[in-house]
Amino acid sequence: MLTAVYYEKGTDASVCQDALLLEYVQKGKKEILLAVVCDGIGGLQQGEFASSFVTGQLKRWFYHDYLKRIGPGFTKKKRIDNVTRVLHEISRELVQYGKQEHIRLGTTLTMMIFCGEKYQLFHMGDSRAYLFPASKNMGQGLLCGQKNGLKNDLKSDLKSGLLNRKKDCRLTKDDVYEKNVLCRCMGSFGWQGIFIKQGKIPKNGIVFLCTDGLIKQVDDREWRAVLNGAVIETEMKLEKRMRKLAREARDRGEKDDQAGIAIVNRRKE
Amino acid sequence: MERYKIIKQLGSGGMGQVYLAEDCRVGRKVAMKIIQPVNLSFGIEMEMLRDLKSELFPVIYDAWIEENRGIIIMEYVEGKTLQEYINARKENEEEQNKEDQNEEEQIEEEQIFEWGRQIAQFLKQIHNLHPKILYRDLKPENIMVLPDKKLKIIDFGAAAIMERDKLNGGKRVGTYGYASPEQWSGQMVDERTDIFSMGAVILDMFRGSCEGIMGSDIRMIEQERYVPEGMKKIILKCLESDAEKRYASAEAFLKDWKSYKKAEQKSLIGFFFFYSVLISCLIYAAYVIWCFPSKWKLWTLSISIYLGLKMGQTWYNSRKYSWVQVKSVWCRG
Repeated sequence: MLTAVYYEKGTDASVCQDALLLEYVQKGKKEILLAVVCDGIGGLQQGEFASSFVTGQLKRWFYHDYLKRIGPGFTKKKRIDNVTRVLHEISRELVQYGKQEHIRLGTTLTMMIFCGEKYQLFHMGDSRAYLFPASKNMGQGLLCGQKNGLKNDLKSDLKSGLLNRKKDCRLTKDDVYEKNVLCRCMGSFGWQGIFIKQGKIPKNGIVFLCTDGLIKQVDDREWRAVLNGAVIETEMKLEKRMRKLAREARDRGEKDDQAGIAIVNRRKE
Repeated sequence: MERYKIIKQLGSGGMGQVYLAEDCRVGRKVAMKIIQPVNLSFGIEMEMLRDLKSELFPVIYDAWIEENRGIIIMEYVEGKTLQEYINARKENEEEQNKEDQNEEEQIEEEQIFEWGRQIAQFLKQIHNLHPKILYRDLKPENIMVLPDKKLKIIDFGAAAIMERDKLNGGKRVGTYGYASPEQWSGQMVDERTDIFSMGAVILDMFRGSCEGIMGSDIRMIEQERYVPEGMKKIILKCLESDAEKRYASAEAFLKDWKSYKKAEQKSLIGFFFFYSVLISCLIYAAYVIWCFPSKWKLWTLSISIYLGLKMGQTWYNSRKYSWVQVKSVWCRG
């Protein structure tokens, strides 16, 4: 896999409220990659702490827990359960910290775990994940974004006993689509379920995770045109292309923080 | 306050803001730090630091409390923060398109050794005051690298006097990733909390990126390829989550830090000695095999091949069954 990241503080901000995490490990021929982007909720306090706390805890969990479980008995379902539980715990810790400090804080989360070519996506909020196949005819684009519903995930969490309706959830009148995205985050608004998706990256396909600072001024078609897995051969080239388009967004007036991770499924011959 | 004219903001953090200002009375540039809220011992700490003459931190010209804010006027230090230095170095090497970027991102080992010594010297000075002062917020952002590559530690917003043996934790102070576990969880702390932070800063210098220690398994640090073995043990001892196992003082750290070079030379000698003995044994074994009657040759050869394969298999398995970190990036505000 080729990987590259882009990270820049917003022009108006004193501190960057985005955070990103990329952990790529190998054991023999097996490879596992964890990619996370978080955008601290600017309308609340200490967004930068929320995003860095979540990514820091995920980094710790990845090495302390997840990698140690990898084996024949660690099925897809168990992996999803494991991730859901840890995200729920992290969200709870954030809520407790907020109560202690008498503040409200939260962050979006877009997280992907790759085992070889297969991925599992976990998402909450308005950061994005895209899949750009090498061939334009394959059609896939946005994997998750602002409008992902929670219909299945929240109800299954309640049914399985992971969540307690009174204690953990703040259900709105429409629990399928949350209109106010500020409420759908890790942290102070309570757990509202998480969007989960699984799939496979095609050969030379690119997965692109980013916070909204990278896609407001530059739309996904432009990103797709630039991030073409068939012609990107090195990580340096991948990073240069990301940087170029991120700076283009700045030139068009983007002031928000920018964080992005690009992953190319490029297998050695 | 009227004496000082604010030119621009240099930075801000959890404890307050820092401004570049001009002292209109003497016509010099100063750094003005405004701390809010201010703790009760603010005045005493500033008095002590002002009296402590050291080239490792800026001169404090004045400090007072005004409207529940602590204001410190100190020497304006020109240079880059260690964080900027590390990040700029990384960007420069990438732009030059070096093939093996990871090695080139690193600060030279000699430089890290010298900077580690300076930071420890600084901690020794403030911990040896009576009463002791704990810095509590050591991180690359609070360390300035001067043009002559000397360091200055800035930003005393989190510093506090240690009364008796321990400082009461109370409200969380410091920066996640550099604060010791006991400090971050609000427990009682002593000078060992600064030792932990120093270990995290030194590790950042080796890594070439400012990540701190949050989330890193200690065992992953042991696999860091760019940290010499002798230094690795010292850094790991600084980063012990149990304060009892950490260096008790900056002096204890300095003693090991200065002597690591001698230990490195010794291990190099040991390395050559071991391989000399091994090669000699192999040559002798080959000679013995040659001299033996033919039936014994076959047995000896078979046993040697079997043992060699066993050792190879053990080595391969040890490589095969451990996760190797290919890439690790963590960016946060």
